[in-house]
Amino acid sequence: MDEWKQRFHQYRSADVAGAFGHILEKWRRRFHQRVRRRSIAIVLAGVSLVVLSIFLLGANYLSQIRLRDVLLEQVRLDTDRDAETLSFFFETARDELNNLTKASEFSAYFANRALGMSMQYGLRSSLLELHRRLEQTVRQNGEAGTVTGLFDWIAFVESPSGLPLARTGFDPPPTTNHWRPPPLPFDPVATGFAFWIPTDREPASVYAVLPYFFKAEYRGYLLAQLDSTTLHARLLAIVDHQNRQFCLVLTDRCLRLLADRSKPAGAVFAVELPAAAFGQPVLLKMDSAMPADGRFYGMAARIRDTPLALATFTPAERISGRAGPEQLLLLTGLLSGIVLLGTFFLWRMDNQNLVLKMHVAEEKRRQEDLAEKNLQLYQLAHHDTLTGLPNRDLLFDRLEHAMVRARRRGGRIALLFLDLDRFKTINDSLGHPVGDQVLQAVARRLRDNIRETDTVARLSGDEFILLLEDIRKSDDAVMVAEKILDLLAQPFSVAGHEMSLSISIGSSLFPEDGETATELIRNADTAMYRAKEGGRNCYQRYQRDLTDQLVERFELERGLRGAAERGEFELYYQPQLSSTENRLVAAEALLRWRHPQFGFVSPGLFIPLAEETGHIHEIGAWVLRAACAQTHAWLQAGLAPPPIAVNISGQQIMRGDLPAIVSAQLTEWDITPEQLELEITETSLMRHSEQSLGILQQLRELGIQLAIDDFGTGYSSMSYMKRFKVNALKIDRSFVEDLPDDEVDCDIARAIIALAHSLGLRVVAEGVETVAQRDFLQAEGCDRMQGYLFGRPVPSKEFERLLKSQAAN
Amino acid sequence: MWSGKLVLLLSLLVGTTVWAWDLPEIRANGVLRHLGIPYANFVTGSGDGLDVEMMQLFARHLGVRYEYVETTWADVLGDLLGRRVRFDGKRVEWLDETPVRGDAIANGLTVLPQRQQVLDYSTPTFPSGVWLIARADSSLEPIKPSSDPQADIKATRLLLAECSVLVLSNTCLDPKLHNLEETGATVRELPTIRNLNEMVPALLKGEADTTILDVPDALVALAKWPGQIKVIGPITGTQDMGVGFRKDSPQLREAFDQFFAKINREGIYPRLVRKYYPSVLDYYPDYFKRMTVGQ
Repeated sequence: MDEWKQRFHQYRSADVAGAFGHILEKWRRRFHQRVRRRSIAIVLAGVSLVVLSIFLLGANYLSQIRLRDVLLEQVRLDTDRDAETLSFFFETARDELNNLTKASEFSAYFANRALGMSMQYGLRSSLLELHRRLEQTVRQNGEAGTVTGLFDWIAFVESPSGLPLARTGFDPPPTTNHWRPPPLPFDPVATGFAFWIPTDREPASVYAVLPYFFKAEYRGYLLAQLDSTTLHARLLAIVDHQNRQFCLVLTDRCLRLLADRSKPAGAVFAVELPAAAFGQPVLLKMDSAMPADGRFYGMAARIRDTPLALATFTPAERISGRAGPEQLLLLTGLLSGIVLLGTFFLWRMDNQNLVLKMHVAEEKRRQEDLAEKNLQLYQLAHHDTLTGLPNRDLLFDRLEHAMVRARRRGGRIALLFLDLDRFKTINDSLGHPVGDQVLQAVARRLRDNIRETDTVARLSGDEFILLLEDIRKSDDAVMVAEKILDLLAQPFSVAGHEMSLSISIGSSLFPEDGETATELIRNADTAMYRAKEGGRNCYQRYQRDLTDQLVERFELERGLRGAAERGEFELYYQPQLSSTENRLVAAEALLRWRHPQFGFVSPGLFIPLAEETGHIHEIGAWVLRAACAQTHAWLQAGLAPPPIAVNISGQQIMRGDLPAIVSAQLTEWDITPEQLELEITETSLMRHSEQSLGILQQLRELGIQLAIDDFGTGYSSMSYMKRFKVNALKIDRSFVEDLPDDEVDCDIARAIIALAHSLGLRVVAEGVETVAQRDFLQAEGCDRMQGYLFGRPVPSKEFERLLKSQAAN
Repeated sequence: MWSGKLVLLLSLLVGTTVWAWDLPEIRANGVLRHLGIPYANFVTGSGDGLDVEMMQLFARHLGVRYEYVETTWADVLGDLLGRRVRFDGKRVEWLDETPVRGDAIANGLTVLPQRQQVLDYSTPTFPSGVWLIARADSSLEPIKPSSDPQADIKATRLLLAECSVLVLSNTCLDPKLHNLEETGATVRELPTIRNLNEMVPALLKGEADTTILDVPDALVALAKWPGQIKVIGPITGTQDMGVGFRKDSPQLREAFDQFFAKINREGIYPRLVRKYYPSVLDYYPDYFKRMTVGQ
C-alpha cells in the first residue's frame, strides 16, 4: 500500500512543464537529424535512378544502332541479290532479240528485197515469214500478258522511214500502217542494244531496242516491249520477299517504274535518288506527292548489263523500330528529368512533414502518459493495497480468462488455496501491524517464487490463492504445493520477531473439479479444510467424494445417536468350527445397523465414525449387553450356546472401565466368563499397547477368553504378544483368501499358526470359503475355522435353529 | 451390194478393159487409190504433204482404205484414165492403153484447159500461177509491178528473149502451155529432170538462166534458198489447182466436193494449208476466205 502511495506522490510532484519542454527539445533534435538523413537518402536514390536509366537507355541505344546496321546490311544484300535476279530477265530478253536478228526470215526478206523483188511477186512472202517469226518469238517466250511472258510485242522498224515493217499482235503487212513506234530519244546504231523506259508514257513500260544490219548495212531496228505483267510480278515478289514498301526500276537516278501493291502496274513515279543510295541504304524523307509518305531507307542496285537499276524502299520503322535510337536518347533525357523532378518534390514534401510529425509525436507521448495513468488506476482497483497482489476481482478475472483458454486448448489449471495456520495467534499476540507485515512478507515470498504466468492473489485475511496455468498433470500442483510448504517453513523475520509459519493448502483442478471460478475456489477451500483436519501444514487435493462424505458422515453421526434405543442395532452370529472335530465350538457376534434412510450400514463405515465421535462406548456396551442377554436366553431355553465372541474397540480399552462393565454384565445375565470371548484388533491393541496391558490383565483375571483379531495386518511386537496373555490369534481373512494357491500366503499362514502354537495360543482362521482352504488349514494344524464354508452370519433366531439342530444331532 | 461385187468381179475378168469405176465400185472395192507425184509441199515424197493428208481424210470420209500410188508427170494421166494421153497445143492425142492405177490425181494439179478435156476437176483447192525465177546473180531485173496483171506478164515475157528457161512437159510448166518459144527464149527441158522439185537446184547449177515455177513451189523455193533466187515476174495470171477425176467418176468427184466443202467449213483444210504453206494463207487471204465460206 505504501509503495503505491509513494509512486502516486512522485508522479504528482513531478515538474510536468519542465519535463515536457525537455522532451520536446530532444524530439526536435532527433527529427532534424532524421530529416537530414532522409533528404540525403532521397537525393542519392534520385541520382542513382538517373544514372541507372541513362545506363540502361544507353545500352539499349547502342544495341539499337547495332541492330539497325545489321538490318541495313541485310537490305543491301537483298537488294543486290534481287537486282542480280532481275538481270536474268533482261538478259534473256536481250538474247532472244539477238537470236531473232540471226533468223533466216530476216536475211531472206532483206536479201530478196535487195534483189529487187517486189512485194507483189515474192517479197511479200518473205515479209510474211518474217512477221510469223516475230509472232513465234513472242509465243515461244510465254504468253504475253501473263507472269511467264517475256515480251508484250516485238516490232521491226524500218530505217530510214521509221515505219514499222512488222509488229506482232497486228495483221501481217501491209495492214500495220496505222501503228507507229514511239520515237527513240537515242540513235540505235550508236547505242547498240538498249533497254529504254519512255519518260512520257503511263503505264510505263520497258522497251528493248536492237539495231539490225543486213550485209553491214543498217536496215532498221527491232523494238520489243518487255512483258509488263511479268516484270510487275517480279518486282512485287521482291517487295514481298524483302518486306519492302515498294520498289522501282529506274534509269539513271530518275525512278520510273513502280511496283507497289497499292498502285496499278506500271504506275509512273519520279524521284531523284541521291548518288549515295547506289550501293547502300540511305534514309529518305518522302512526302504525299511520292508513292508513300514518311521515312524510308532507299537503296539502288544496278541491273547487270543494263542501264537500269533496282531501287527498294523499306519503311524506316521496320529497320529501327517505332522508336529509333534518336527517340531513345530523347526518352533518356525525359526520364531523367522526371526522376529529378520527382526527387525534388519528394524532398520538399518530406521537409513539410516535419512540423506535422512533431505534433503527432507529442500527441503520441501524451496518449502514452494517459495510458500509464489508466494503468495505475487499474492497478489500484484490481490489487490488494496491503500486499500489492491481485485482489479477488482480478483473480476471478484471470481465472475465468485462464478457463476460457484452457477450454480452447484442452489445457488444465490448478488452483491452490493457501491459509496460514494459527495466524490469529500472531495477530492476537503481536498486534495487527505485525500481522500485516507478516502478510506482506508472505506475499513477497510467494510472488518471488512463482512463474510469471502464474498468479498469486490475496483473497482475504490470511487466505491466498495461487493460480497455476497450463499444468500438464495433477502432480504438478502437488510439486508446487510442496515447494510452497517448504518455502514458508523457512523462518521469517518481522518487526524484530523471528517466527516460523506453517500453511495448509488445498487444491482443485480445472476442469475435473469445477466448471466455474466460484466452484473451483470453493472446492479448493474444502480441500484446504481437509488439510487442516489432517493436522495442518500439509496439502490436500480436492476429491469430489469429500463433499459427499461430509454430508453422509453428518447424517450417520446424527443417526448413531440413539440408534440403540430405536432398536436399529441387531447382532448376527457366525459359527466357528473346530478343525479336528468339525463341530460348533464358538460364534462371533457381529453388529448390524439398519439405518432408516441408508438401510444396512457397513460396520467398516460407522464403527470408525462412532470411535471418532465417542459413540463407540455406548455402542460397545450395547453389543456386550445384547450378546450376554442372548446367551442367557439360549441357556434359559435349554440350549447349549457356544462361547460368543464380541469385538472390542481400542477406545473401550483406553477408557479403562471395560473389565467393570464385562463383570457387571456376566453378573446381570448370570453367565460364566467362559461363555464370553473378547476380540481386539491387532492395530488398536498395539496403538495403545501400554494402556492395554492392564485392562487385558484384568479381563483375563475375570476368566474371559481374549483373541487378537485381524492378526498380521498390524505391527505386533513380540514382547507385547508375550505379555498380553491372550488366548487366541485370528488370521486375517486377507491371508486366507488366496490359500492354498499363493505360496507367500501359505507361508504366512504357516508362520502365524507356528507362532501361535509356540506361544501356546489357539489359531482361528477367518473367511474360509472353500474346501481347499479348509483342507490346507486343517493340514497345517489350524484349530478353528470361520467362514461362509461353515456358515454365514445369521440373526439370533436362525442361529437358534442351528443350535437346536446341533443339539438334536 | 451385189452389184458392187459383180462389177468388181467383171473388172478382174476383163483386165485392162475400160470400165466405169466410180464411187460405188470404190466403196465395193474398199480402197481409194491416190495418184501422186512428189511435188513441193503437196506430196513431199516422205509420206506426207498437203494433198496426201487431204486424200487420207477423204478415204476415211468415204469409209474405205487409202492407198498412195506414186507416178510421174509423164504417166499420171494414163494411170488414171487407162490410156496414155499427149497434148499437142490444145489438141488431145489418145495413145496406147495402160492399166488404171488410181482413182484421183492430187498433187497440186493446176487446172488447165487441155487437161479439162480428159479430166474432171474438183472445186479449186489451191491458188497458183507461174512465175519466172532467176538466179540471184542473174542480170535479169525483177519487173516493176503495175496494177494490171497482163501488163506484168507482158513485161516478164519480154525479158525472156535472150534467156534460156527450164521447163517440164506434161506439167503446168509445159512450154506449150505458155507459148514460151514465142518469147524468143531458149526452152530447155532436161531429161534428167523428172520432178518439179529438181527445177531450182538445176537453175542454181547453171543449167539455164531462168526457170518457171508455179507460185506455191516458188514460195517454198524462196524460203528454202533465200537470197539465191529471185522472182522476175509472172508468166501467167492467177491459176487454180484441184483434184483430177475420171470423167466417168462423177459420183466420186461430187463426193469429194462435198467433202472438201465440209473440211473447209470445219477449218480442217485451212489448218492443213497453214501447216504446209504458211505464207500462202496470208499471201492469198481472199482466196481462202472465199473458200471457207463456200463460194
